[in-house]
Amino acid sequence: MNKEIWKEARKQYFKYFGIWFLILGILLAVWLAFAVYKRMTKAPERGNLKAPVERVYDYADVLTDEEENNLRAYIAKKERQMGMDIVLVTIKEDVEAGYSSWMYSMMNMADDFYDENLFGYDKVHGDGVLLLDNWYEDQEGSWFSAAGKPERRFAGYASDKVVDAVYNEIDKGPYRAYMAYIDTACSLMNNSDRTVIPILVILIAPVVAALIYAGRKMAQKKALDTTKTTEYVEGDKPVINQSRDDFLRKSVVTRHIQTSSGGGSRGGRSSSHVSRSGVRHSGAGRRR
Amino acid sequence: MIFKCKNCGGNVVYSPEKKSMLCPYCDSLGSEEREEHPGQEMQLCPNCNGEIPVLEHASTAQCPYCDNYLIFDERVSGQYKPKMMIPFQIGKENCKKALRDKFKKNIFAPTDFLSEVRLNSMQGVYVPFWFYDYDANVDFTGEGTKVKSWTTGSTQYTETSYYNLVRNMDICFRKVPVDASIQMPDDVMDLVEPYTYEQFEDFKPEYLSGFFAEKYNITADLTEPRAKHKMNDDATQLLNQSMAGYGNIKIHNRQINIRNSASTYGLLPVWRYIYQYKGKEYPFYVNGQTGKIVGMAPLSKLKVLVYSTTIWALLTAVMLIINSIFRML
Repeated sequence: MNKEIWKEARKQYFKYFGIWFLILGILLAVWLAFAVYKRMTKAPERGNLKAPVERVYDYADVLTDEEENNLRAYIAKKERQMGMDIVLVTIKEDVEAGYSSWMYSMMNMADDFYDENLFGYDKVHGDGVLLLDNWYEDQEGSWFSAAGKPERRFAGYASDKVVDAVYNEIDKGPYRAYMAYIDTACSLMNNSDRTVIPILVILIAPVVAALIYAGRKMAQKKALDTTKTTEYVEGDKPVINQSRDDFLRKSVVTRHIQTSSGGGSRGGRSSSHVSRSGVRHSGAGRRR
Repeated sequence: MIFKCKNCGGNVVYSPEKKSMLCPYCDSLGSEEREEHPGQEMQLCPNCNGEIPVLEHASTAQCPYCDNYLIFDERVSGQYKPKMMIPFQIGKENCKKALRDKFKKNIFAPTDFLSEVRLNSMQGVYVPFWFYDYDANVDFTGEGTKVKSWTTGSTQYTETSYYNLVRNMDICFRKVPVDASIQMPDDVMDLVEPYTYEQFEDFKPEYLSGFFAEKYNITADLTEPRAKHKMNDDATQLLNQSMAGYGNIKIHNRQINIRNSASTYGLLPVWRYIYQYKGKEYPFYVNGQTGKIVGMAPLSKLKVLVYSTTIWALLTAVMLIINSIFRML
């Protein structure tokens, strides 16, 4: 008997959630197809042969030769995987000379370096990223610049994430910080963090839905009272002997409605801009 | 008394579907023959002489040995003879179907709640009722207000009009039912209502064959306060309906006077299904005439947990997969 009840309960369960499991199965299949497609798709062949081979420009001399070589090898490997140029430039320069602001000087220097050296994986000024790291005293900081497809990808707060990754590792040495730059830029480029459903919604909504579902299914009433007021009344209505509504008086109350006016403006910023060479870049940076 | 088939001698019962006496052994219709057993001891089956457990107020019983339905003459005659009754209109199979239809969406109920084995334990019971007639007069005086509000420019106006209200009405209540059974819960019996009184018939013991029944075990004077309460509620609602449109009513005088009253004893049909779950009883009562069901299905905590967790897991998984797909695009 008990075995039969369990069997019936299982049958009920799968019948009830059948359509849900089907939807989940279809979604999983779609997800799997995308994942396989993405893994099998190779990065396109390099289309720009005008750019220099060098990727690591250590003008500030903060890296050892071995570190530079390691970075070059790592960048070469990543470039082939990602299909974008990855450039690292270290400087030790007073970028605020002549009343220039640190941010604009760094941004222009990074963009100019990329544009003047004709970087870009697919074409001149095409897909690529560049990190400009300044070691000048009191002006230490990094600027991250992106062009081509990465320009769109890093137009939002993703640029800040790259700079954050560099700063998180800088205490462990510049080599570790630049490795973090390469990894973070590639990771962000590879796995877009675009989310249709915010994580908070994913955490809260199913819990709320499950609670509402349980509450609704558990709510029961013995029965509704379906007996009409006139159920036991002869003729279904009373016999009215007298019904009088005599007007007595009237009172009027007035109230002034206060209206409010006002408004606000919303501002925003975009890290996307056109460089002095006319190439569209995105990027972000700040002092350390 | 026992109703026996003229053709085969089997115990004949009343069939709500056929609206006739039916012999379940040879399927004969209307072949009943009333067999009286004067002086027979109530505890002994006149058919097989087996011992019958007789409940205190029961007017019928089923012999546990030969399954014959017996009607106790002394509990359906004299002062206990009902003046009227509504015979069962819904049979056991239709009642099972009604229960299954109502609770099929109740997925948190235990799996065997609506199983054939469990539902077969359902019993048809004729419940004793007192029916009260009242000729009532309702007299009312009071003050009512009507509020109107509108806005002109930046000024809102609220106008309150006051009226003197006078109402006087006669209401004839007929057959206000109150169950006369200690065993039956009052609130449930109130919810089982209403019955369609057009199907009232004079009492016939044939209708009791195949069902359980009780004689009244609460006298009319003890149940009358409940009847008056029902009557008062309905009269007050009818009075309020006659003053619809007034926002606030201040009562100066409200009196409900009863001019004439009378009570009658009768029987109404109810199907009763008691479901036992984890040591607790879950009773269900079904109006034997209209099929209205009163009762709440038990909850299986395990099912609540499993189903709710599944909903949570499915939603979370679907949202995570959707996000993951969009990330890859």
